[in-house]
Amino acid sequence: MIATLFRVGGWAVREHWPAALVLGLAAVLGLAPFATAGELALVALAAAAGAIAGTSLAVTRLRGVAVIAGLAVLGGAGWLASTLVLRSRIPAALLGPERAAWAADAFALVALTGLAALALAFVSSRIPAGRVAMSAILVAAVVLLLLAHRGGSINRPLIVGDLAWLRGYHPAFLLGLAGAAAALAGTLALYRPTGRHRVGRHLLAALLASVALLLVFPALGVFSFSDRDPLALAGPPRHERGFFPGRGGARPAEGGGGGRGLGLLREGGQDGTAPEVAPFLDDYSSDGAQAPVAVVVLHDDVSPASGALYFRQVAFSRFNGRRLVRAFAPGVDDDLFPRFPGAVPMRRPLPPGQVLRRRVPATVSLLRDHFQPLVLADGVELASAPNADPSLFRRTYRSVSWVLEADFDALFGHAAGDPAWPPAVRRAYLELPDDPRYRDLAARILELVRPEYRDDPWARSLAVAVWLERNTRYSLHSRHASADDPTASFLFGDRIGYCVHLAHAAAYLARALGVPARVAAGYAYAEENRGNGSALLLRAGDAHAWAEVRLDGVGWVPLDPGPPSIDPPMPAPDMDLQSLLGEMARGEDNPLARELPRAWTLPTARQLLAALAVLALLWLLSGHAVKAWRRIAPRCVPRDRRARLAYRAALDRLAEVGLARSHGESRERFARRAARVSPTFETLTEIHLASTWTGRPAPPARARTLARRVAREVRRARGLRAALGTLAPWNWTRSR
Amino acid sequence: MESVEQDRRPDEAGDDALARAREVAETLRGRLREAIVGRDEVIDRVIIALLAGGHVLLEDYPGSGKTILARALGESIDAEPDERRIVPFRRIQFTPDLLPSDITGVSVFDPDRGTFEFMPGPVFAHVVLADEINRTSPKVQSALLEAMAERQVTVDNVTHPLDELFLVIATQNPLGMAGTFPLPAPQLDRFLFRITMTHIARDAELEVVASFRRRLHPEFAGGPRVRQQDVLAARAAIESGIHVAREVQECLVDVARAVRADPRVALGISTRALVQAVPALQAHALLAGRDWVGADDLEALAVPLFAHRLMLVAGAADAPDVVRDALADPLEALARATLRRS
Repeated sequence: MIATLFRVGGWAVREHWPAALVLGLAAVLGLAPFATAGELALVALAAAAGAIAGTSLAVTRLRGVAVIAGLAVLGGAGWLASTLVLRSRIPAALLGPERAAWAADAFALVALTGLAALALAFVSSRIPAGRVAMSAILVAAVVLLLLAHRGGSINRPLIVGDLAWLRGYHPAFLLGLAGAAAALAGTLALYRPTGRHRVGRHLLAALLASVALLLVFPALGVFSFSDRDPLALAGPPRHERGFFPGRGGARPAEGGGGGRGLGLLREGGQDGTAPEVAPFLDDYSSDGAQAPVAVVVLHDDVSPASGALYFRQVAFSRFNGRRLVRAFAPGVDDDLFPRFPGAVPMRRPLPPGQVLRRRVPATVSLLRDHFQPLVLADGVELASAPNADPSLFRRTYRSVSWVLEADFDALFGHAAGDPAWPPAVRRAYLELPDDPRYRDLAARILELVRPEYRDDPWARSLAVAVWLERNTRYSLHSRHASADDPTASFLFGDRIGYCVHLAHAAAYLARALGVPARVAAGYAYAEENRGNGSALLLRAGDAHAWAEVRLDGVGWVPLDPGPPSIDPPMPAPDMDLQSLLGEMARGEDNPLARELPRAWTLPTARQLLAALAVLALLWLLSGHAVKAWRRIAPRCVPRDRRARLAYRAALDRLAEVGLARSHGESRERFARRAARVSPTFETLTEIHLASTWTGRPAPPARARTLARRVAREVRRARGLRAALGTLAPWNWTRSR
Repeated sequence: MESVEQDRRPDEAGDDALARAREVAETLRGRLREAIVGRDEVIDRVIIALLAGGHVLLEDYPGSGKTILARALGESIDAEPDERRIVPFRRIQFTPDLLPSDITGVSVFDPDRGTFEFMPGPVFAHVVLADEINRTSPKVQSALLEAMAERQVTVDNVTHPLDELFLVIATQNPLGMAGTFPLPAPQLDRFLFRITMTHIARDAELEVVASFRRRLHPEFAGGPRVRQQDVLAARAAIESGIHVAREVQECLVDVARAVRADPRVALGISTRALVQAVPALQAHALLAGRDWVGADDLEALAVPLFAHRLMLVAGAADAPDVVRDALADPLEALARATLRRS
């Protein structure tokens, strides 16, 4: 008995080791990021055993439905056992709670992977195309494993990564290709026992499946080829980030923002939390204000009336009782880009008032990590761009913005807000503290406006800005951070503050006068610093917060009061550095790139994918074209060939439902086999053979009638399969 | 299926002859099936051998109805009035002490006329049952095999032609090889078919037990008989009326060549075997109701036609397996040819 078991087991292992290898490997690779070593060993064994059992069961006469049903029962039993071990007290008492929990996990894991492997191996042994699914799973496992590189937690292949970056490839893409190659090798192993006639075809299918996976993953956003520094090539991450880009640091949290520049950089707090953006702080240090943080190359000339270019990162609209914070309500501030672009460019609707604006494309190369893209206001499109020098720039992206260029005169006469806004959005933009002093001050400011302009929203906004410029002083060293309402402490106290105070004050006052307003944060760049070049160097000291008011038909208009400063002025940027960095950002001065021979230039990942997509499309279309021709050919060729082509068309119909003559099988024998699906096919075969072997022409009309009847019978007997078969482009190659 | 029958029936000149040939075959089939239950395939093979002018070697166990088969076949054919006194059926039990003259006949002195007169032996019949052919000496075997090949016997320098139908059904017992003289491969080559019989199905055996008394009755084998002339006409009709396409001939030759090329085979299929095979295939097509030879005929007959002619190397597998393995590629080529041919 035991000897028999051993013999059968040995036979199964000898015959089916490739499936066991592939599925075991896939299970380990797929679960490697999540499971412990012990669990991985268990999973590998379970998957391998399941694969061997599945392929062994496939050669028996068991019905597929019975096997799948049995598997479902077994899976239920495994789950039940796992639950029982976890819930009942006996295992916990015997093994201790920790080991009992581990055992329960192991039960569930083994049942899941083993039975899944069994089902997969069984199906793919019965249906040849299933092997493609098997290799696709291996590919998926490899890709998933490489995804784990994103956190930089696994040993990084730095050499591969550097080379790839320099050539404009994402390392994950190259590693994914390597994984696909490994999977193809696994597929080859899978074909060892039976592969004679169809290895090539199935290899091609496996290759296409891998490519499809590589195409599908970025489309689903599982990983994007231009995600920021996924292998942490540019250095260890400063603070933890969530799995999904843009979530980790996005939510402003109170924390020690010890850095510079309003906390807009990803410097992070000491305790690992994200810094507060544009916090109210006393005693901003001006050390490092000159440190470059980003280089912006403008692709069109622009000269805004305000004299400053605003690079918006976030906007604060919701009043949380103390200050304005980021709003997450639908419809509020949805013109912003909360995260960096992936493979797919991000788009926003065009802002209104395009006659007042100029379209300016720009390329931004970040020198320091940022948790949100900084986009020239008002951005409408954001797309990733190749990094000209990964050793210098953390990330590069392209933006398209519509910059407000109109003179202030042109802004009079526009209504406040946006008539399309729902009441809730409008309310959110008009919310302000209960403090009555704001409304009193607003009313007093309104009285300064000439009566004929008092109803004009832009005149009211300008009045607020002018009043603030005249009545406050700018300093980074202020005394309001500990107040319940820092803005009130600034506005109704010593009136000494910096941009965050000014922006909040302007926003509150504008809201008090019925003009929807918000506080935007990011960088402001003074036009006079630009010199002649198209490159702008943003420095840490350029970080800024400003108010924005909303005018109907214009969009968001910056309202940036600039009161006299009592701090020493910040020097202009170094023009040489600015132009040098600009050149580097354009990729004009990259010594590493120059060293590589020109002939080595490969297509970029995007071009490669596009080419593959085109090839896949061609593959699909050409298959369907031939198929369609073979179907209508019996009507189009000379009479003497019609009967033969009608027979061939019937063969194609049968091939669509997976019925094909096998090697060495005579047409007569195949017709008898196919008679289960289409009895008429036997008659058609006889007519075809009689005419072939006697030389008497077969009646073409009759042959075509019979072929049509075969098609009908096939549809009736195998409706779903026939429909699926019609969609598949190349199954006519199986009809012989 | 309204007009399928029309498609099957060719409207050619030889159609009538072919129809009559089919009638002959059906009549024989009907009579033999009446006489022997559960042996439809063997019956068809024997009819094919008769129509193709070949001989049959039955590998059989005792008491399986081979005598009844041979007798029923012989008695289904009406003998023509003939001075040579041809009888429908003879049975020869081969024993070690048999002499060639016991088979062919002897010249006997006629004291009235003062001359030697030829007394025909048992081979002068439509159907001869050569029972346990491997139990006699090679000398006697050779005499029979010569008669089979030449369709004549020579006694005392006088050649006597045998009956034109002359069909030998030889049997040999595969078991109990002691005291036998196994037929060498070149002699086996003279048989068109070797048919290895197995026990009949349970239902058929039950019917035999239930009705054997009725069947033993001499008047039992009812129904119309066929005339010798009809059988000969059927042979001619088959030869001219059943199409054997060039590709089918190629397939036949390729099977033979594949068998010869097989490393398990020491002695392959002879060209004579192929020559014999063509009429057999045509007869099989006739029985199947076709007027063309196709892959079905080849598949059905390849093993009984060829397997007994092979000598395999020591330790090799069954000859039928070798033949079946050789079929695959030529059949594939044949199937593909039907879509290429215009």
